[in-house]
Amino acid sequence: MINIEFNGQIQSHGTPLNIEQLLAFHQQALEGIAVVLNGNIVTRSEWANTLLNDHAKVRVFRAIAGG
Amino acid sequence: MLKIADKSFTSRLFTGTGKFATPELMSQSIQASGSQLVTMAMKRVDAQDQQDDILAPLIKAGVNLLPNTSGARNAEEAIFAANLAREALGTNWLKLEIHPDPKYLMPDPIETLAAAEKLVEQGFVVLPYVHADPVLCKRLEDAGCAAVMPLGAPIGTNKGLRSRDFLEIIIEQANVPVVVDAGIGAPSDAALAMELGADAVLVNTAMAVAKDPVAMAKAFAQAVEAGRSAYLAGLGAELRHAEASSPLTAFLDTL
Amino acid sequence: MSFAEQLAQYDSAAVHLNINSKTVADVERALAKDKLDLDDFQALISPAAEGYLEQMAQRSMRLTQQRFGKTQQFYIPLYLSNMCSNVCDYCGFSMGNKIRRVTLDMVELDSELDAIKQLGFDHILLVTGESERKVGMEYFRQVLPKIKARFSHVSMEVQPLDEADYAELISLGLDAVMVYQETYNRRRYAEVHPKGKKRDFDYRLATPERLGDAGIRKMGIGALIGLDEWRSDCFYVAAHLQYLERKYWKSKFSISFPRLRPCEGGFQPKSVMSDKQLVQLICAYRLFNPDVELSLSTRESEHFRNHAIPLGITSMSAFSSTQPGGYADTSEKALEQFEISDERRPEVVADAVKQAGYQVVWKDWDRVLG
Repeated sequence: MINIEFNGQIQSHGTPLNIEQLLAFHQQALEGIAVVLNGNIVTRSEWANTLLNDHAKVRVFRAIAGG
Repeated sequence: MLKIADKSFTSRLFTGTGKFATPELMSQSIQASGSQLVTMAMKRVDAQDQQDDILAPLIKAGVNLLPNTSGARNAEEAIFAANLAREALGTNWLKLEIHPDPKYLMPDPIETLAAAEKLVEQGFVVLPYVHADPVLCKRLEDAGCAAVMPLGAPIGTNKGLRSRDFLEIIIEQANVPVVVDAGIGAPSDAALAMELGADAVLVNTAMAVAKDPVAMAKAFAQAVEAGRSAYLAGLGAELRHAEASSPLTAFLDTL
Repeated sequence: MSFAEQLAQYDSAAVHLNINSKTVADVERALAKDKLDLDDFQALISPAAEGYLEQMAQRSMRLTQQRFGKTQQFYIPLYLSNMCSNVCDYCGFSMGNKIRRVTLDMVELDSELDAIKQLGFDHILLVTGESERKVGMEYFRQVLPKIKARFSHVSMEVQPLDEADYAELISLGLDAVMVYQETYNRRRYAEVHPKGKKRDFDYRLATPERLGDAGIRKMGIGALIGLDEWRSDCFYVAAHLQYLERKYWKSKFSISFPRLRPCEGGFQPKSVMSDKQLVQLICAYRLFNPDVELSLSTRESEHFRNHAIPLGITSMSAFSSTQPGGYADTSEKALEQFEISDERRPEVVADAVKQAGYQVVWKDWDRVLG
């Protein structure tokens, strides 16, 4: 059992997972987003290879309307 | 044709995507405006709230995206936001804006210059939003910015070109395109900016909050085109009347 | 984009035609504007503007007074050497000319500086021929600190140098550099510069850019009027100024407009500029650019200079000798680079300036933080 913080909310997961799996778990649209793991941006191509440790903090940003 | 960095634009009207009542209206307005460059912001996703997808219709419309760094209060945050935007949208174009002041959203010149220097180094095409400060604009140009975006009036105020005298100096001195951003409240303001020789204008609020945003977008497109044509045609100025004074050139007849 | 690239984009025949086909309507439109562009400048130097001379002069006077006040800066040229390894058909210093060649040594320099100080000047323009070997960086390194110790403003009009050399001279106290392109017409340039390093049109053309990159405080540009068709050449000067001002926004700029005079060698100007046309040009430069310094040398007559004071001129030389050593030793008069028309002593010129209602500025500024 590992705990992963996703956009400020802590969620427990039964099996280890990578970023891509985490995004699927939270039903995130994959277009137009950026992922930050423990303060560092993880490029899209690394999502599938980046396994999340216990207590990992993941934040997802997306493009929104703005001037 | 307007050229900024590696891109060419037939439309000199850039638009923001904020403040529209619905994404449909936003996307229709942008199409009506003919704009080929639209700004977007980056925001952290909240776990619950499902945002409307505005990206898909923009990509479908074939416009270029200009992510901004709104929300950044200093250079460090802006650089982080820039990298997020590059990652999320796959573009190295950036509207650099840093406002530590939440009330008037006035751009911070010192942080902006510091961030611009770093971002240019990191390969961004930087378009900084700044006060209409001619020296700052030259410094940003020297730092390698692809254009400068001085404000016409405080953002969102629709007050027009309050900074006109300074915009004129910036336009006169610039070797990079000058995009008048913020404060443009009516098509006549946009036309005036173009008549003064601005290379483009960026309009958001005035379009988004109009009773009929799509019609207003069209009106802005026409105004920008008219202003540009007038600039190219060479405006006649008000007639100046010579003051009576002793002749300065009469001596030439006595040689 | 370099200025050379910009220059290459002009079609010289089209420029010539454009200027000469300007109409009075073009002139009136230019006169009605607050900010003039290069197109307006063409109108103001065109034949069509000749009937608007008084109007141009009045406006030029107002703009100049608004920006510079009622002042005239005074400077004096100090000819350090007339050695030259160029052949320039129009110049008295040209390598083939049989004149006695002199380069001031440190003792002679001191007596020249003494003589100039006594005349009251504090702004000095160092002039040499272009002889890299005899009068190059090594010589400048030697003389500049000595001169800077006694004069608060030191300008130079010598052969074009590299950026690093300029940076070094600036650190030694150099305030301004004048490098005149002579003519912006590449073909004509090659004709009148048959020999020497000066043949390199592009190296000379890029000199203001090297100066700007080196961080010079002020630079002077200009064309030698008469070498080629003057209207086109002066248009390119205006375009050059605009280019430089935009790129080197921390520097000041000055323009000179020397008219070719007869000198040893008997060179015939290709186009002759009348006094009227010189007034037209001075006013056109001023209307085009309210901030540029406009400098008038002693090549022009006393009569012309007296009346040109309010027209837009901001700096004047006085009592110039183009002969190395000519201030301390006034006996010899055979080494002139060009003929001096106004030979009045500086206090006499100063009186004329005061009569015109202007103050003479002998000293521009000190380098407080330098």
